[in-house]
Amino acid sequence: MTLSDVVRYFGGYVWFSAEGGFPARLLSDAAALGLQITHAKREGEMLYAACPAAHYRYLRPIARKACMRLRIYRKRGIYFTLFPYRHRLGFPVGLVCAAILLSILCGRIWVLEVEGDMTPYRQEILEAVGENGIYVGCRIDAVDMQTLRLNALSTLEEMVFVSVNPTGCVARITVNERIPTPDITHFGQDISNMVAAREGRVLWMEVYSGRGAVAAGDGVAAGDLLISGAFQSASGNNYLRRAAGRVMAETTHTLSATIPLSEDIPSPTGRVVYRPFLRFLRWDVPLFCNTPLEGTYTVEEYHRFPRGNNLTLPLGLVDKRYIETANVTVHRTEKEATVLAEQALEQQIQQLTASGVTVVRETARTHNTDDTAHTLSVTLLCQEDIAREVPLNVDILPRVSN
Amino acid sequence: MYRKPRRIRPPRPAPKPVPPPRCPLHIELFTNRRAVVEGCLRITQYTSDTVGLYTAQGEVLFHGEELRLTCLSDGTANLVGKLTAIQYANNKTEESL
Repeated sequence: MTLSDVVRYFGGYVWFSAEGGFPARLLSDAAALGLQITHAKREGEMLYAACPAAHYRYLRPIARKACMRLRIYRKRGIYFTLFPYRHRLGFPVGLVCAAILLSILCGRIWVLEVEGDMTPYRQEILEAVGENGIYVGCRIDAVDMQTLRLNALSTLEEMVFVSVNPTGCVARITVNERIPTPDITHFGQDISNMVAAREGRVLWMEVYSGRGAVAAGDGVAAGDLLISGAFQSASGNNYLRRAAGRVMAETTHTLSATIPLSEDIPSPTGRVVYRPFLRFLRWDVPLFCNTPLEGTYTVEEYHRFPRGNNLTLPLGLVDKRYIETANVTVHRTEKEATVLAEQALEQQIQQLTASGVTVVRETARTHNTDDTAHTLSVTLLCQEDIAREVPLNVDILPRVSN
Repeated sequence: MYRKPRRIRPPRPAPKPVPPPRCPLHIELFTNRRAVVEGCLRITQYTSDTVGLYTAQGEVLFHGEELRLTCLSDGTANLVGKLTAIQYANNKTEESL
């Protein structure tokens, strides 16, 4: 298709056949009037040619003079394509709406993507850049990258580099995770002691700095001095150091879990309300006209967004499932309460173990049931590092020289 | 049922005749498949084998097979087909035709 064909298509043109008479006269007179006749072809007594749609009406008197009969056998062009839809207002309205939407949306961000394996921090990163003006639906040209880097990095302590690269309507967030620097212990700077965090019996100790104040087998109470940062050497010199070390001791922990025998628990009543929303960028358009919900509900969301080129498009359906809940009084038997109490106690022991405490032995569990609750308590014999550093405030007097 | 009367549009004015070109005869040949002729005043013959163009310098006859006039405007004719001969006829004036 040549450029002239494109121009003709916009204007609309007709193909016609002319029969009989004097085709040379028809063409000559048409050219004399400035009518554009193209693709003229003679086949036997017939003349086939094309002309712009607006010129065809002027060909008729010329054809009459040339004793020829015209007949249109093909129509092409935008005018003829759209003519059957001239009474349908939806088409121009849709075109105008599409043009407006395109002009509005072309300069906005549709999709935010975090590059790299940043799944644990994805939500934090999106919130951090959102506070600095980058969110789904914001204008691309309004993004100040320099301010974003400064502000977002102050929020994201785990990150060392943040950059937002808009590509079309997709903003790709590139982040680099900070590699933590190792802790450097300065034993000569601050003066401190190490004291017992809880009572127990010392099993063994490792002194890295300072002087040990207890020995293995000693019993200590909470707050007792374990490693001293201020000590005197054998030669009589006084030293002030930062105490460091580990003091492993045998300690006891008493844990208890109480389960009430009757309790009000929110429970689903069985009534579920589905409400669909049309989500566009970050706006939700409700697709229902019900009255507001009354009562207590838990909400579950199901997203149905189309995907293309591995990107989730910003237009889709969000189904919200409202599950009505009501407080239901649950009465437990002693056996049920015991099971729940043991589960709660196991969780507490797991939390204790996760904090670095080794459980050595467990005493017998004590069950106690009164009218309102069931209490399960247990005493654990543990091993743990009980040394805790506390700063030592020493006022050093200036040395007086004689 | 009431029907809105159809609006009658006034007739469009007929196009004014284009003055004939004053440029001399100028023929460009692209092998034997295409010829561009400038300075055409009229078409004297038009069949699939012969196309006659009247110019200020006389009549020119193009002989060939499956001849087509792909464009005809402003005194310029674009002739496409398999050209076999070009013949210059007697030098008549336009008024004598």
